Amino acid sequence: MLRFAARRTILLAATLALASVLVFALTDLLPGDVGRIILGPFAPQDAVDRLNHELGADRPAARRYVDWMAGVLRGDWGRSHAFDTPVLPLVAGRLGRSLVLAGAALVILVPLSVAAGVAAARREGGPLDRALTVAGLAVGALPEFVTGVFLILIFGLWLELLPIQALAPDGAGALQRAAHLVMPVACLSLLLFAYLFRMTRASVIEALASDYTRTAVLKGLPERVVIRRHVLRNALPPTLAVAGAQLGWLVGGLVVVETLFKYPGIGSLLHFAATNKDLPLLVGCVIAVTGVFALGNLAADLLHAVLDPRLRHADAA
Amino acid sequence: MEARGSALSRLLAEHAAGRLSRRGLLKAAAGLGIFLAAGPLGRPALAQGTPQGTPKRGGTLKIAAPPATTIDPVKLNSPGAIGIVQQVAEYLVYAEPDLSLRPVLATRWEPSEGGRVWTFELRRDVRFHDGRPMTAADVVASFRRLVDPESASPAAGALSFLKPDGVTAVDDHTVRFALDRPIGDFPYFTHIYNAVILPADYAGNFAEKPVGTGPFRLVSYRPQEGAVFERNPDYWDQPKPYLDRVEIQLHETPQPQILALQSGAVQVVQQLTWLDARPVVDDAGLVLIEAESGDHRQLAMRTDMAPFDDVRVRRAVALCFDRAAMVEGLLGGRASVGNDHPIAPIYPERIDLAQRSPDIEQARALLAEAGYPDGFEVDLHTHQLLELPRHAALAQQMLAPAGIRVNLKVEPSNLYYGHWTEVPMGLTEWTSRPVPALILAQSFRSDAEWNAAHWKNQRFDDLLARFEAETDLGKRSATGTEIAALMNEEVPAVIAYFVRTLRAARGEVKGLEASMSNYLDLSGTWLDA
Repeated sequence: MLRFAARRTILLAATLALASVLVFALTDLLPGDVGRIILGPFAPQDAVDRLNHELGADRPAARRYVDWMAGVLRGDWGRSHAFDTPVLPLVAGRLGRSLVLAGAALVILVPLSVAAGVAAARREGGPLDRALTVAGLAVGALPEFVTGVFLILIFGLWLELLPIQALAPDGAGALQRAAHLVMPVACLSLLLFAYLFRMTRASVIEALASDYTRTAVLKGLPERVVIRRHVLRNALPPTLAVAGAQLGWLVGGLVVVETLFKYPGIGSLLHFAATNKDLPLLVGCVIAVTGVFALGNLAADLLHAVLDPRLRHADAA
Repeated sequence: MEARGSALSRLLAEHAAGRLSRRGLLKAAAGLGIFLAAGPLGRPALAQGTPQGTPKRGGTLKIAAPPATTIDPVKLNSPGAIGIVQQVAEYLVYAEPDLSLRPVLATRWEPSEGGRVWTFELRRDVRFHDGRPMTAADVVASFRRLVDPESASPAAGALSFLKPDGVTAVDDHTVRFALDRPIGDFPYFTHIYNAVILPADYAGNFAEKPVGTGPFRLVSYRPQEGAVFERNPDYWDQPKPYLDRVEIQLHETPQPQILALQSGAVQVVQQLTWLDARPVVDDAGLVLIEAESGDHRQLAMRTDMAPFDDVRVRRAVALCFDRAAMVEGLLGGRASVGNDHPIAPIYPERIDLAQRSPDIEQARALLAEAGYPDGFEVDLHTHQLLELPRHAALAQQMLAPAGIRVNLKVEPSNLYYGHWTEVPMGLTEWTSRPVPALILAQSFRSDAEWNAAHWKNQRFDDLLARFEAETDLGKRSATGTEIAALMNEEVPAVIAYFVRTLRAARGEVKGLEASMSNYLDLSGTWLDA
């Protein structure tokens, strides 16, 4: 187990290093000129050239990478070109906020879709199964800006039940913060429900039809125990792998949801950095998101190992 | 039917240009057998601001604004950053929506040497937020900083006639600007958005140490999120400001701003386009205010390259545009028709020039004369901003009957700005400048960096020099008319309309004005809660 974790940690460090190299190598290919983007289309060209020089944007990518790496090793992640503020606190603050949203969404979503998946699988083809499958698919097929706007119109403007902006005012209590997060969490849950639900449902159906389940039932175990100990243990790993893979998107890819609900997280920061060629900010965001993505997959794999004794034993052997 | 349609659009154009009264238009249209519904013409009169009333003190005003990049006043260029900085720091003068000048940090100004030297007298007893008095030294340092090549300010382009040592302090409360050439309208140039007055020792760290003389103090600023301000109790213009607190939220896209306004999460949307303003018009609890502006779009044609090196081809292009239809279709009528020169009706100069009307037959004849009887094919570049993509698509349709086959290249903004002065035909947005000379100089002077048409015309340059230097409005109008006529004849760019800038507010917001440059002055704004 320990060796497994150590190997994965080394792999993670290599992934992050590779991601940072890629960002520096590819940024030169992005369209536009950072000095021009900051000063605007009508600034004189010599002002743009001077700013590019000040920012170091006129130096070759390899040289900038070495300087950046030297800074990071000293704990200095550089300054954002466009915002003119240090990268590290900005990225850390946004990452924390994104993790709160993603965490809340997963806490609601995973138990809900697993429970629904098990319930639907036990009565395969029944009315509940059909209703959940159709409804989940229909809602999941809508893009998030449609679902989100509908939620805002219904619960924010029409019923006036929930705040439409996800960021609570400074000094708000925990309950108020939670109320502000309800709509974006609902939007994300609606979006991903069908995915996780179908995955669970299919795995549970397969596990229910297996020999070990039949043996367990014939052995005289109560149904509750069969589901928990035999069916779920075998059916959950694929669902968890999918949920782990979604974590990267939930943290780094929520540009639309963050913009719509005015919840600036790392997704919109990443988007801004890429469209504005803000290299120090971009690489900071990419490292943060890649790190979360890799850790999410690592957590899913570890959970899988906990659920599946074969994996544990294979590793120990 | 087609003939009748184009006759109607000509009438609409005449009406929009102000040469045909509304009644005259309705009568003439009826003569064509067309009965116009009062709808498109019977709009409520333009509301320039929310009601003034007797101000009440207190309250927090929340504003949704477009995105901001750096908020360093010397470098800033984004509309969100302009709104943030304008609460904290102030200009020497402020141009009102009707373009009259209100004294702010300067109380008096006068030209000498025929407009080459300008002397500004400063307001006394003005203090910066850190308690220090504002003096001539601060004003001198603020302007030197803008034109110093070391500081890489976008303002240097607009103030090209000012050298750092041209700004000097005469005494503690008098500043002298010695310009390279006479500029008749110089006070307006002290109102460009970078030209706020900062302490002489300002070190480029506005986000960390925001010090100005403005009505509000910056309490906190978070990139991409917003800024919080509190009332400056020592503001020089008592009893202003009336609000206790201001919060500016930065938004990447328009839709969440409108939703926030409807739900009451914000009370003002700083700026929006007609496309996004529909829900505001339909909601009785919301107010849409608008300001005439010099904002326009230039469809520039490379005059140094075939086919646009022939003036007949450029004139043919201009004849294809049905400007009245564009104003209706693209901007819901909230614009005035343009005549291929940038001296908008908002400016005090009166331009006396016949409006160009669409005429496809003549356009075809001109193209044939120029050697393109079957038309030609051309790439039109523009970018994803405002109504530009739809404007370009409409241009494509309107040029087709003359045989001009347009390939649309709609690009992301950052890509377009990288090569917009090189493309054969480019559609670019130009925001309002306080004086028309500034736009003329930046986009059409032979040596201008942003002369996208590559138009070199000695007569234009001479006229512009006279226009810039003239301090008398009557003479400036006459020169302006000559410039407009020359541009209308030469068509370096098609300028189809001048838009109005829009701003939306909830009913309880009073004393808020729209602004031709989308500036945000909240010193007189109050809440009727």
